[in-house]
Amino acid sequence: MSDDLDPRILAKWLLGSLDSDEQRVLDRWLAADPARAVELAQARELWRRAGEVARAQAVQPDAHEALRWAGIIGRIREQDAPPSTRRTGRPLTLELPRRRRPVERWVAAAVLVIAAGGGLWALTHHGKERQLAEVPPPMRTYETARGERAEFRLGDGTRVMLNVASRIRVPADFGARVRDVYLEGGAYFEVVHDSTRPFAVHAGDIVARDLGTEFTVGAYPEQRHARVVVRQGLVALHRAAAEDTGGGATVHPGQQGRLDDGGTPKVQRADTTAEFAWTGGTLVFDGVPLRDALLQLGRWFDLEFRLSADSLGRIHLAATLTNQPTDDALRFLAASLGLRSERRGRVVTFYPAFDGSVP
Amino acid sequence: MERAWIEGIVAGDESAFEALFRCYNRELFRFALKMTGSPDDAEDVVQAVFVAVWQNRASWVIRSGLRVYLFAAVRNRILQDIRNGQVRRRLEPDVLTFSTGYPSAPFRSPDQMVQQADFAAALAQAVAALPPRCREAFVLTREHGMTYAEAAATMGISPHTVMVQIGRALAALRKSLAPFLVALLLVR
Repeated sequence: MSDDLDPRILAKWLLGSLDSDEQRVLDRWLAADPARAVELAQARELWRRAGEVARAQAVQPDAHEALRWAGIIGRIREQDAPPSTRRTGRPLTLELPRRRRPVERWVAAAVLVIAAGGGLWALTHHGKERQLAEVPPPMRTYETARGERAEFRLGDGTRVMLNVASRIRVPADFGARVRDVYLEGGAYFEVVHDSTRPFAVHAGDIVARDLGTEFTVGAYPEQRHARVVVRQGLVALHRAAAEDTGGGATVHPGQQGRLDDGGTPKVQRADTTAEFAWTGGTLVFDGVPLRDALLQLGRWFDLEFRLSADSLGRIHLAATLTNQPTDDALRFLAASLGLRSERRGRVVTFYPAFDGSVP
Repeated sequence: MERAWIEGIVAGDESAFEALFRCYNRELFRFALKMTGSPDDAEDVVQAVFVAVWQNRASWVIRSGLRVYLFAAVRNRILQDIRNGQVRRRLEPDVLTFSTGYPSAPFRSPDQMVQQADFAAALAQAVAALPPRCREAFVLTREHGMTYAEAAATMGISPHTVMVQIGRALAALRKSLAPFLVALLLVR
């Protein structure tokens, strides 16, 4: 816009609210140079497009909402509750394991949409080269740290809850033809079924293909085989390497599927209440040896668990941990194991309850 | 609805507080991100504003609309943090574009996505380069759909000044986005 058009007149013109004096000023300005009509048309187009972009952004999922809420509740609690009342006097419910310093943790971990390989920035700048060179599409990464979970929706409306210390990668062209995601750790999916664009989770040694479902997938590093548990609908389970060669299995509600050591899909009954409990902020142990539960506990609370003696690892843990402050949960854990726990910073050690030695 | 939320929050009703959060947190975050250029700072500010709402609920007086109140609270806190040196202006293009253009249903072809993302990214960069007041006026009215009067109340200036800032913003954006605009006008 040439300098001589009053910016206020431009702004009012966009709204169609010029009075007659202002209209005359505009008309005079336009008449002075034919190019000014183009400038004005460009300004209107810019205004319109900016509105479109804003509306498109407004409906996008915000992966940070759950953590934002948790951060607010964490801050309120820290400022509100004297330590002695924390156990019973919780002013609000919190869906995540307790966080110490919400903001710093945000910086450290959160569910950052990481521009792995570039994200949209790369898409913008390399889009044209990509069409020529067939570079694999950039991945968008959602990540949770230990002690953190997250909930968000993918572009197709599929709801995802990411368990602690997990990562999911989504190709930038997700949904264009297929809907493939790549998981490390654990996640719950509520898939919007669309047979023309199959949804598939690649995790560890399996591919779980949705046939209209709610299911969880677990592929943590210590698991020899990734596992899918179905609550509703059907999941087709395949070996990751041999997806197209058939030989898959169908996992029904109430069942879990994984590969056996020979690489053959194997379907068994599953306790879905326990398997899906984490999505509601509850950790359920159903009589597993303590040694096997330690890694999971460590991820959940972002602590390191140790045993004063290896033999303690054989004790079976049957406990349900709901949302509660970490130290309360630790006391409860120790009590249900018949052990004593000592916490030093981020390290928690279990001792026999009546061990004569002083830790 | 707003009345009920305000009364609920003043009375200590947690569900009213959560409803308020669910309704406004996303757009407040987008606004704060545009203002600070940093997701961490934006997150911090939005959380702090909601915490303050809850903790000052007993003495909470809303004169304007709730939405304008919350935007103004975010804005004032950012300006205060900038004065205190707690927030640096970090308007790097990649920070501003990371949240744009992700495909939501209905699905678009990759070509359309690239085109749309191109414009969205260029716009975000150009908006980030505007003088602060211009940027605020533009972001509030265009990206958050506020009227001139609402933007004026949020910014604590007159509607007249908002219009001047928007006119300036448009003139500057038109220049920096001229190549796009030529192409867009040709296409249509």
